[in-house]
Amino acid sequence: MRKTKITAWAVLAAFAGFLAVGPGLASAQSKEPIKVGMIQPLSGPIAAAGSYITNGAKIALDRVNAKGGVLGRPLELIIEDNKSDPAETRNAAEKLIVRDKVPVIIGAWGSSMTLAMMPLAAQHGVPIVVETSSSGKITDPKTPGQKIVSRISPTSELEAVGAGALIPKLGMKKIGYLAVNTDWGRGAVVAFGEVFKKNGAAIEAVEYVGQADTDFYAQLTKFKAAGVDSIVITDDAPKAAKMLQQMKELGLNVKVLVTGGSAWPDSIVQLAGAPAAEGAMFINFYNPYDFAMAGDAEASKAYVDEWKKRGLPWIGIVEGMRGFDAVNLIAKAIESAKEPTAAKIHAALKTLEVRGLYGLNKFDQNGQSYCNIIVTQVKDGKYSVVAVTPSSKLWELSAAK
Amino acid sequence: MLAELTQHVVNGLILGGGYALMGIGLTLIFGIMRVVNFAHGEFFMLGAFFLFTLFSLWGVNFFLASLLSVLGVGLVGAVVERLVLRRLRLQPIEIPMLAMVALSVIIQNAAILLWDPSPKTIKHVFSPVPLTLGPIHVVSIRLFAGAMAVALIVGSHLFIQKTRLGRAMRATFQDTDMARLAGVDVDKIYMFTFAFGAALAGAAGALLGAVFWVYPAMGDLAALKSFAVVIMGGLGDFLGAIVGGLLLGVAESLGAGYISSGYKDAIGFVLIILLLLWRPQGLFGKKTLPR
Repeated sequence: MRKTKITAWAVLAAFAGFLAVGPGLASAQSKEPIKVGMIQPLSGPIAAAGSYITNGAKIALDRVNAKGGVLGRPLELIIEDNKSDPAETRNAAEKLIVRDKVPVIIGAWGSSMTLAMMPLAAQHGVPIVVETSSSGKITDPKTPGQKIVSRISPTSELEAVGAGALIPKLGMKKIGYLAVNTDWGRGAVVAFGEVFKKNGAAIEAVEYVGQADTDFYAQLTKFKAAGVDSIVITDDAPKAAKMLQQMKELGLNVKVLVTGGSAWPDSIVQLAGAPAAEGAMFINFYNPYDFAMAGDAEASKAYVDEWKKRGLPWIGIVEGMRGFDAVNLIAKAIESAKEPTAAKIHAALKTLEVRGLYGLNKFDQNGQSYCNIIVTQVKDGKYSVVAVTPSSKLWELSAAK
Repeated sequence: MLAELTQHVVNGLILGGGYALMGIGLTLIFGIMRVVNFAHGEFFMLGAFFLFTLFSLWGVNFFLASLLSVLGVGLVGAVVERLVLRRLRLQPIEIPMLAMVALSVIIQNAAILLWDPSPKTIKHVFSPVPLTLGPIHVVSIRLFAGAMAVALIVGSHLFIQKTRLGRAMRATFQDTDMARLAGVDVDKIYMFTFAFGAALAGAAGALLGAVFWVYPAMGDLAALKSFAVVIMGGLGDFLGAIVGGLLLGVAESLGAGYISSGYKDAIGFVLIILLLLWRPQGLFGKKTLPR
């Protein structure tokens, strides 16, 4: 009896000793990887987009590690699935912060998802690099947790400013707006509505669609009856493709502009077929055919080459660049922070300037970066560029304000 | 004005045909077998992926590929019944329900690993050019899906009402012990019914996968609509599934067209709540004592 008690104490003492020494050992091991958290939709209706971004991030990660990592240590991505759901995003963020103790998080594709995890991250002081979400709310100082955010993707407002000048030239006057029923879609309708108005076009009807919807006949029939001459879509590539197909099926021949940067000519031609895609226009932030258009031409080429080499789906390449840029930005931030802690990385992100695929990634007082806005079109079944508003021009405009 | 209304109704009927098709498999499994099949959407998804693999990847003839896909899903259903549900048959209803939730997660993630999550299009053999009747437009693949829905539903109904096997099925689920005493191989009937229900879900998935597109999470919405259709129509009633499906489709289409498309799904479910307040047993369901 006595003996077992002694053994138990010995075990406890050894365990306490391990706990005391454990962290010391960890810091002594300089080769231990620096963890970076990443939250993406890897299942659910927008899983494809999440998988493209994760793949882009892995390409950047391998490049950083091949060059010796950061601060002499390799970077490690801890990827969590938010199941395309805001509540799951918060759970994933909690897991990354509390259990994995990551000093920085990349995420979380959808605006509603990103907004759901911001207060929690702010509470723990863990910075978020937002790679895709475009709702204006995320960088609005009134939003809880806004201070913790550095966003490389553009807001819908920026997209609208970048593309707005084109509206009169395109002859868009009576517009039907088809948007996904989330913070992203609802924010975009407001942002584009203002710019359209300034440019002499009016939104005739606004219709919202569910995240997992596949049938848009009801909305399109309504637009047809309203006699719109153009349809603006804010949604992901697969749904935009279905909408274009169903417009043709209903005999609705109008001008189409797809915002948000996830849909682009090549993906829509593949998903909807060339006849349905013909003439459709897209707001994009990256051109995989013209490396010089990106902020860093060399990185752009390396990224495209590696994407092809890994046999990843070509239609995902303009989505994948978001993950690529986010990881590169974080690597630079850790490098300049000299210490991989949440507070130091957060501070470093505020002053950083990194040329990437998006354009010039740096952040204004609200944590917003201004990227390239490229308007593209399907012409004779092929990719073509209609207009470009470079990142540098948008930075000038904001400085002038 | 009238043209718009007609187009909305036509859209709704076509959409509703799809819902009815999703619902009939569940009518068997949930309505008659009383298995709360949360993996129903996954059988639907598998039907679509089997068709995609056979037709789009391996170049099998479209109609043959469709038939093989449906049989394939039936086979998966039989295996699920034999390995999972048979062991849980005497357990309270929530035990198999939880098992089906787990199965749904497993099958969906397996599909993500096997086929990757990016959506696939089945470039089917029908013309993408719509048939026009005045101002009304319909594409032939949707008409085909609608016609197949009706054929499958009527066929299944006749099968269960008129054949010996159908009679054995009904007997088994009315009173398993009596059926066994009368010489029915109850285990076989359970396996066959579940496989048949799964195959019908697979048929719906293959048809609608060709109309829309194919991706691992496609079953989520389908499962939700299937439960709505089955509960609205009355448990185990084929005619109810047709009417329930069409009603849901038209309600959604008109609701989205004239009220607000943001509330499209809500409109359908409000309709169900109202209907159940009026007739708790569903449109065609019979009042039954709780078992």
